[in-house]
Amino acid sequence: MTAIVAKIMLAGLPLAAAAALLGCMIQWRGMSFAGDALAHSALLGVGLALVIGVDWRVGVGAIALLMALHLHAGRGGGRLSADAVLAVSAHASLAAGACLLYLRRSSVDWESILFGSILTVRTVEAVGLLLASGLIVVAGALLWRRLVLLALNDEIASIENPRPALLELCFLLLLALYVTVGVRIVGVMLLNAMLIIPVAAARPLAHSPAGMALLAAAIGMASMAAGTALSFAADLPVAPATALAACGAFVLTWGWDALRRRPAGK
Amino acid sequence: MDSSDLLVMRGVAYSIAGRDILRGISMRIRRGEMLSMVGPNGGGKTTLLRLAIGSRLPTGGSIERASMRIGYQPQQAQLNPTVPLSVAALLRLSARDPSRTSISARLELLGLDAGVLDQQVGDLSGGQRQLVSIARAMLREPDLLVLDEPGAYCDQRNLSALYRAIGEFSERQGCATICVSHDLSRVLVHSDHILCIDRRIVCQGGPADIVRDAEFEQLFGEKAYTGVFTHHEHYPK
Repeated sequence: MTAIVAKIMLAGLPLAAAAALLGCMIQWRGMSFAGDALAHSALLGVGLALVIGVDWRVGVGAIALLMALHLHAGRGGGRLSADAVLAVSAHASLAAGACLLYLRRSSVDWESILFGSILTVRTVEAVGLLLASGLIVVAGALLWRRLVLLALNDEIASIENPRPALLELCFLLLLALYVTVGVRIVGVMLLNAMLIIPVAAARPLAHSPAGMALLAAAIGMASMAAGTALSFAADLPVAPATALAACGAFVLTWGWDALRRRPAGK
Repeated sequence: MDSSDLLVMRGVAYSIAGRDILRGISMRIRRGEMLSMVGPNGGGKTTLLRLAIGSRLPTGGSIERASMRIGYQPQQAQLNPTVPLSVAALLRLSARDPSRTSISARLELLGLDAGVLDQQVGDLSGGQRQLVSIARAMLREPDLLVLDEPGAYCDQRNLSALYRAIGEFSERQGCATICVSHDLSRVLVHSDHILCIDRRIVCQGGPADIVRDAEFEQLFGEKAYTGVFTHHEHYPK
């Protein structure tokens, strides 16, 4: 039991903090599909790694990086709307990844790929996750003022920030790093959930961008702890239980907000 | 481009998918000058503004800019309401001098109560958001203040005060101002130079000259700018 708690502390909680910081930007900029596209690219990464015969982390990292560059190159749109391009990218990588994995089905642990497996994380992996999450949080904090300005109005940001395209690329690369390390904990299907749900739950309580990120981190971490407890109590996989716990927080905060905003006397 | 110039455009064109949005634009903006752009909807005023500030690149011609700081108020003061941000935090984000005194002075100049500082940006009315957005641009202490329809949400009673505040700020700061506006009356009173844009520069000049221009009259109708002046504002002679 102590080992499991240590893994959650070392790997799960820092990942939740990194997801909160990235998730705020994703939500403010309406980039949920970008999160999906990057998360689903992890499946293609695992599939390619199995077919080529390299470590799956190399495959996920390489494909997430390529997807980040693709999203960066495709920003600004054209005749097809940006969310349509992102959705096509997300579904294409999901479908291609699933086909490749099916070809190697004998050596594939589907549950672990789709929903992660924090309980089987080795100590060295946990330390790697801690370092990667720390890098995301530190880089995100350093870029925070510029990122907030970009979320507020990209035209103002393009005037007041030097090289806004580079800033967007940095953000997408941080997102790719999150996907690469996060797939081990929460799996392909729930990577985006951990970016979106805790942040959405934090919104009614937040009065500042930093406050929203901190609240989302706290909700993400509490959901991780609650999800692990729920998985032990009801014999459920940890990641879906964590996502469910985050959804519970979402219902609570928005329910409280609805009550608070209810006209007096009703 | 001489030392008094902040920006010079020569034969600038902008097109999207082969469709001309702007063509043959040649203009300059000098330090301390108040330049206004007027013209019909869809005539390319905002696009020209975006080319001037560098957020769009021209598809033809050249743009030369001096090294300068720009304060920009976008059209309809579009500030993402999903970001939880107080007005005070928004203004501090861009201010060169983020002290409460400096921020309050800008709000006061624009006729906003300091109480607005504690409000969330998403909770502001359209008019308040517009004024806060102008204050944010002013707090950059810019060499070039760029305003896209600053009076869009302003009631008639306060419009003249707004244009006077912009003029007062520009004079005190010593900055040039580019202003896109549909309010011909105020533009004629408060501008040094006016560009009339309809995919090209239809006509340009000082307020006194432009009202006598046949193309200006053809575009806006005879005396289209009359009727909104207060007792201490006068038509250009």
